[in-house]
Amino acid sequence: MTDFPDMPKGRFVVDVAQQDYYQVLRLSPAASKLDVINAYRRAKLAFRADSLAVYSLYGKDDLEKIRKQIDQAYAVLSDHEQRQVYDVKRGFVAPRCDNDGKIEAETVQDDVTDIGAADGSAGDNVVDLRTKQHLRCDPDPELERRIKAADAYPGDFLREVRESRGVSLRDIAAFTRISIGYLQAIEAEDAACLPAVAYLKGYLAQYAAEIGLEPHRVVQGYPPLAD
Amino acid sequence: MMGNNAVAQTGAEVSRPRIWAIGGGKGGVGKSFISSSMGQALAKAGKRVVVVDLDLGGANLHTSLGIRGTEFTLSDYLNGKVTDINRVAGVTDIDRLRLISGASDTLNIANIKYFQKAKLLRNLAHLDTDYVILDLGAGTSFNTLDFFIHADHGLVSVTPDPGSVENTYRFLKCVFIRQLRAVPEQTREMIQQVLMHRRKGGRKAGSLADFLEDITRQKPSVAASIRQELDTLKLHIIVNQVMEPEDTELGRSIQMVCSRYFGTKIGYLGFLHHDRMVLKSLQQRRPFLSTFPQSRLAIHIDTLVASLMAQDDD
Repeated sequence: MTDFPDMPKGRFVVDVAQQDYYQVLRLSPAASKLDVINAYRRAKLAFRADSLAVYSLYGKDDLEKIRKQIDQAYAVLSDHEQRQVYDVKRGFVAPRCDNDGKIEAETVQDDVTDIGAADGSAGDNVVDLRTKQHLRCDPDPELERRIKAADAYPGDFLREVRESRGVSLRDIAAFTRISIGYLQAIEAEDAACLPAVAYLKGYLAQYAAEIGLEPHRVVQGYPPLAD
Repeated sequence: MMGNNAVAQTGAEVSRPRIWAIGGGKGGVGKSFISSSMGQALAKAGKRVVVVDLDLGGANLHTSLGIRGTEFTLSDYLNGKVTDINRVAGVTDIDRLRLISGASDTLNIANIKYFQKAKLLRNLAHLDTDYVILDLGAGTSFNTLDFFIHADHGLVSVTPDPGSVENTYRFLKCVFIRQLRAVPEQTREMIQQVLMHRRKGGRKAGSLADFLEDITRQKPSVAASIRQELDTLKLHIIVNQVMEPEDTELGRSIQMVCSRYFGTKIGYLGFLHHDRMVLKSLQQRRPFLSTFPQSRLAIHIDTLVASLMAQDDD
């Protein structure tokens, strides 16, 4: 009840220069997905603009910077693949083999440009570990460019990305346990069949992760969720 | 250092009581209420407890416990009238709970001398009891800070009111500075400037955490000793007088902010609801916890005490 029991003892100060995402969210590298979500929620609450807990210590600009750090940390840690890349890069875990026992490594500077920019080491030889075999490894450069530029993620665009990556809805349903009906409704933007907003956000994030998109960006850019 | 030595010397004794101090920068945040209630909760759990009214010059812990006063007071001990600290601890209406009262303290008690403070700090450990609870006054005078630092656990009471939160950070800053008495003068000065938000040579004043990180690079040995000093403090936050549901998040927020700003871990013990019956029971001069033992507030206090006791056991 009292504090962060799972925080490693030696980590004492905020390592701003190196941007330890776990440290930003006050998490241990062993934190579960739920821990990450809870920590993010707490951090955003604590450092929100009208928070009672911060105004006498931090200025407006500082708070904004801190919130940006928190968002960035969450964007990486909440995404299964990005987190894995990050963990390997920071030495939190050793590279793992995939199901076939062979390591399929490739540089993923494209996927994680914002990590690279944050700690100024974009040129590092980052190793990505594809644990999901159904993701195709030869992306269409034109589509990748559109994904990167996209602000909105309408259903037909999501379907296009999914199909280009060679992922079937059945795969996603099997992987995420989300019913195929909901997945179809997401791609069709079929308001009548979509679940309640709270569920929709979760489903959408999981769906996005399965087809290699950034979950939070998809949730933000999904038209039926826009006000 | 004196406080630390006292702990170290008596640490070998098996029967040394655990000392909990309740402080907080602001007045009226419920320090006396929490002290007396925690004392009662410990007594109810079968422990022997002595609560000490260290709100020097503003003592009224006896009122929270529903009694007029005790035979002797703190002044009698500090002036040498009573030589054994155990004799000053007077019985209350509650079993196993004794009180060192300030009810009829001398009028100059607020300005106790250094040797008096040292004597008291040294001898708190000689009280024949399981737990000692120190009810401190508001503000950040050296006396208050030294008693707070001396304790095994330092509890800070905060209410969801900007003034209280502000004073809590101020109090914590003072506690840290006081704790770092042994650190070289120059470094302390720098830390003080960091904590006071002063900008030096156009460089932006960062947080204590940033500063510690800087100094780790420049003088690793100094940084290590600072961390060691800060790590010996066991601080806990209690959010008191909660009325709105969103205020229940305040403790976690403060914990998170402290972790980021001070770079040191601070525990969050829990929150206590505002309850009008507290004032009512005070007006009737009856201790709240035994008057309303089934109230939500009383149950929360029992829980807080149990969780802090559990931390002492391991």
